Amino acid sequence: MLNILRLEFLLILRSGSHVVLAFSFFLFFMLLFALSTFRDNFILSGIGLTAVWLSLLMSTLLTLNKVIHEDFESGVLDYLLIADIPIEVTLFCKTIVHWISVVLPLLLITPIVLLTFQISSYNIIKTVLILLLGSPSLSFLGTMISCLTLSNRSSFLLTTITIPFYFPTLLLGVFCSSSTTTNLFAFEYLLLYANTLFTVVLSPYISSYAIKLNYS
Amino acid sequence: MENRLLNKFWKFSNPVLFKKLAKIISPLAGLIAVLTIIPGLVWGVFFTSPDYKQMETVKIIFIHVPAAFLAINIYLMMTITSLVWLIRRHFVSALAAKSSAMIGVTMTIVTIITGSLWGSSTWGTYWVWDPRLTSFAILLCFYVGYILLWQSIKSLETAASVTSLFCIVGSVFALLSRYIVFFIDQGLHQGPTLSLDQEKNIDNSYYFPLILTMVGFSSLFVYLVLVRTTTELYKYKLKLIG
Amino acid sequence: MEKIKKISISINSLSCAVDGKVILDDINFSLTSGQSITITGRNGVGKTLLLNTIMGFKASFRGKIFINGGDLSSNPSNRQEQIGYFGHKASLQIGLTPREVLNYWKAFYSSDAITSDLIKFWELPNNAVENCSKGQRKRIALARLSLMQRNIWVLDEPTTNLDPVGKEKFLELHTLHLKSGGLSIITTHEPEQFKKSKMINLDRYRGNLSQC
Repeated sequence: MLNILRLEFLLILRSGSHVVLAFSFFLFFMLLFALSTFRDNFILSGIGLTAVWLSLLMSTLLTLNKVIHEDFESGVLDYLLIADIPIEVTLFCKTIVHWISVVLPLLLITPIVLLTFQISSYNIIKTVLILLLGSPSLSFLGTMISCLTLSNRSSFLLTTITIPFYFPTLLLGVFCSSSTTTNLFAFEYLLLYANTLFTVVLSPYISSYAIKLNYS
Repeated sequence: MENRLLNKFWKFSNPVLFKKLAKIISPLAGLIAVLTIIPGLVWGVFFTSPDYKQMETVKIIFIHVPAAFLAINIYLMMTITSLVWLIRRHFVSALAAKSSAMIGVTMTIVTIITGSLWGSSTWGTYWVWDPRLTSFAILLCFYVGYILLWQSIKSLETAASVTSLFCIVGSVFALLSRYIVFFIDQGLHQGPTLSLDQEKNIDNSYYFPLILTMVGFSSLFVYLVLVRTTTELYKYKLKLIG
Repeated sequence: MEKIKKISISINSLSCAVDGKVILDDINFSLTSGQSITITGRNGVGKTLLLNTIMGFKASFRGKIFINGGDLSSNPSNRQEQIGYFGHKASLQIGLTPREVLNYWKAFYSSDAITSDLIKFWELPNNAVENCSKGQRKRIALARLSLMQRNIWVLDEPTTNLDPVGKEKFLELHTLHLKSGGLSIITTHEPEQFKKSKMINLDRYRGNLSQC
């Protein structure tokens, strides 16, 4: 499994222009939020947490076609299906790699971006922690839906129909980020963790089933 | 005994038998729809006393509630037929899900429009992000996603399988979103209009016409879904020949 | 190469359909260790479809596929253990170099083949696959085939785009594969090069339209 993760990272390293793109997109999108509330610090700090969730969601959405679509089109997926490693494990690794390569860098830059949104450092730490615990579900849900839409190349379709599946995560994420509880085991946080665990566990199985359906 | 009954039921997954059955049931359902919706609406709109607070606008209930009832239950029905397709591979089942999706969208939109008209007079606004309203917006998204997915895949069988999985997973996520929305905010909307628990129900003078229109809307749905599924079957056959 | 045990594959009245239309109807053949079969036919007759069905990439088919007497649809893990595949697409990660590609697949097929031997044998270049020619890509894919170390080879036009030297290398490898007890199913437009191979022409197996 570690070996597979290493190989998938190698792939990202060699043909991972989307990582830089997602990173820039995230920053640009945040800038859009900042510009739209230009010179109004009150609104700026109000929308900061929402903006960071939305930008993260958008940059994840735009990179989803890199997870499995390219492998399907080039035919690599055929060989992955008949490999000794179960396809569920492969998908799990691919998704983890997607999360680490696309989402994690965004989380690292988030504190700096949020500082410019006039948000207190305590809230920043909390938000980053929540993002860290909540965002894996974005990648895993994305893999699931991209496996569903394999038969259609358009990444526009993938993006559009993934959005409804992001509702629970977004709702919980923004709610937790703006909640005033300090206890990280309050009910809303537990719900967010449950959501993440649920998608992480379920996604590889549903994805592999979806791939098999697409191969019929 | 039960087993034989089930076998009889599955027999109608055969397209030819299904078409025969649809030919018998659909006019009946259409007739029931006409015979219940018109009297129900006439009774409800003209022969009930207006509410003391909401005046005449309350009568939107006779369209709003049946449409909402259908909007939710059609998705439930699609989930069940999708499961049937994935497990037992009856193509009629997949086509039934496909043809009910459009009706579901219509019903959801009708619910939202009538609801916002109602809201404009009682709450003073067309739309608030109240949990109930939000969950209908979410439901609409899943319906639209389902239809988009159907249209985007060329191979019929793949499309049927993939959309079925979308529908099943989607129902889980729609429910999840709904409960999260309710958890976050309790909302303005009144509680459920009808329930099995008699004490909470609305006044009898509204109750009976409402039941009448609900039956009417449901049989209208049965009529439409049978007609549409038969059409889909013919379209599929044409595609095979052509 | 290790000693390969006795192996057999048999295909019983296989019919393949695409979207309700029967493309191939009632195909039968069986092979045992050391045998190969070439599948010929016009373009679009369904050669690739047949291979895809055997590989499990197409789910809608009627009939049975047996490997060593066991039904494949009730025991799909047999496919993972036995069948090595070579598709008509090269299916390579274009960002990697051939060595990295082979290492990648080596992990996925838990193979103990030595990558540098394969590279030397197929004379693979040291630049990214992106810059490789079609023939070179075919060579990499063929190297992956030997890397799989599977007993049944399912090959889709293995020799197109290969230069004469490459073809010879492949035929040599193929003979070795058969000698060591493997078997192979090959689609090709040049059946002459596979000597002593069974032949089947798919033009005769065109399906009729099914009834809905």
